[in-house]
Amino acid sequence: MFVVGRVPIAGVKFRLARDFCVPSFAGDEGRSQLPPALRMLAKRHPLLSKTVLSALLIVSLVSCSSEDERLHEQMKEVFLWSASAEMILDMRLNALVPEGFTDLAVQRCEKQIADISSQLPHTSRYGPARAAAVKLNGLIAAAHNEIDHDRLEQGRWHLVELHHYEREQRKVFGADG
Amino acid sequence: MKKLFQISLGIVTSVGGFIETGQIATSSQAGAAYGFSLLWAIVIGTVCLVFLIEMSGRFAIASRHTVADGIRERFGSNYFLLTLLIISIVNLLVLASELGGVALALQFVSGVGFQWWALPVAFTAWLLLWKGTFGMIEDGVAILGLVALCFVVAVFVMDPPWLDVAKGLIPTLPHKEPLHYGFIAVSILGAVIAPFLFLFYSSGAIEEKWDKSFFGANRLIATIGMSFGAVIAAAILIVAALVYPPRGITDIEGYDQIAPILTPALGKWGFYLFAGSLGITCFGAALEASLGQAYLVAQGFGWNWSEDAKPRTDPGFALVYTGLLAIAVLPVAVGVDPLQLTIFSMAITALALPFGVVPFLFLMNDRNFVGDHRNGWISNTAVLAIIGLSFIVALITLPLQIFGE
Repeated sequence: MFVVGRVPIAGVKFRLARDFCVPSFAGDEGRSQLPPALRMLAKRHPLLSKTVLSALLIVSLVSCSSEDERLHEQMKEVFLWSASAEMILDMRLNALVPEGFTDLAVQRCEKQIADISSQLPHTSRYGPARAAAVKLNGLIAAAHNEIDHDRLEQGRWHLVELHHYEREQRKVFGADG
Repeated sequence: MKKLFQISLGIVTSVGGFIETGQIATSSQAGAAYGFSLLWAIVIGTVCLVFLIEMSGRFAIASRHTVADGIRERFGSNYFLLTLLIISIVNLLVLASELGGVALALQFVSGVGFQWWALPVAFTAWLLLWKGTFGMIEDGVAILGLVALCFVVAVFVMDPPWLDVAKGLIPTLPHKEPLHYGFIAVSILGAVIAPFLFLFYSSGAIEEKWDKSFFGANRLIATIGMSFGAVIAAAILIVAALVYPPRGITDIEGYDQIAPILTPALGKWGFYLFAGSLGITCFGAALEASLGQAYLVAQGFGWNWSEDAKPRTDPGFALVYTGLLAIAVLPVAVGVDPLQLTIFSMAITALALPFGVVPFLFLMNDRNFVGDHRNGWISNTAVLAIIGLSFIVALITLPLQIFGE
């Protein structure tokens, strides 16, 4: 099973994950992915075809569990950057860190989340993950904007919302441990 | 009285010179990911470093040779060239990381991207090396580096659960991700046992004309100075363990995450103290790494060498640190993330350690060089065991961490 490394070389890490990715879940496209040769084999040798289909089923199961693990790792990364943005914005709200630092640091968090989100495969299986990443980035941007314009109450409100949404999504994706 | 002053100064500079980007990055990562449970890596790394620093000072006093000199004489030019190549790669990576650390500190306080600071930082370092003296660099920058003691203050302000901290001093297996745990442990060892430290120290002993009356002082400086330095590294890990996991940050992937580490304990000043600590300690380490490389090359090839001499009297020496700075600044100037560079270079350092340390151990056991001041079995065993362990773990974890299992 391929598990992506943990060295913070984010670009390499996700490129590797993408390149080594096993085939996506067949049900995604709503059509059979059996090649014509296999279909002919199934017609001529029913017993052999069962063996081949069982092997394919096992391969699909393994690929699903590998995909689950990869999704789990990617979402952990998303939550890591989202929590970092939350920490920095919270400190900015209390005037503990300078504005220039906040701008660059939060921009980086948003970029990392967007990068991870864009590397998720465009299949229905990954839809909720992409939606969560987009919403997290939206909440971070909203809080950043309010704090930037000294609307501290609204900024605080967005931060609370970000915090709750992040916690909820961590549970959904099993990344709260 | 004069010797007491020199010992005190030596200890202070060892404390100030111990912390640099490697310790800050790896200790923060360890604290965020595994709480206090990697404190033991700092302890065993420091034990090894104390032995190595003491040995390099003893070697310089007893043999009137530097480590590089000794390796060339004892093992011949071919082996020296191999060692030179490996240590040069490590020094280059470490220097790039340190320049990145200074540039990032300037980014934090100015809001201007770190890439823009790379060239001014490298130029300032070069100017100081060109114009400055050994004492100015060693004492001045290292004394300023004492600002890093703010991490120790932060630990007491945050009042950690001391029993859990004590448990972290005992090596244990991780409850999650053993490969990542091993990789961080190796990076900590690589950060603590940087080869430029003992190359710099042995050259410093000769620059400052230590004679046989300095054996005791050397032992005191190595033991007390390095141990106090390790206390700062441990303080960074403890503060990271208290700050990050409760906020859902269980890994560190950028210096932006580390920058506010002191803010929960020290408020607004915490941010500027962190930036100051990062900038000053990395700048000091950049000067030491550049000089360490210049010493290695000049001593190995038998050129004139002294930081106190004018560049026109030792042009080769000056050319080496100039060239090294010019190359090391490139990755930072093109925007390679300094944290990635640091973590990677620390792990490579751990992998490369045996190539510098094992021949040095041979020298320390050779009567022709050190006479009656040879190593005892305790120092030989301790250094070999720690270097061997870090090499094996680095060999296993480094490729798996980069390319996946």
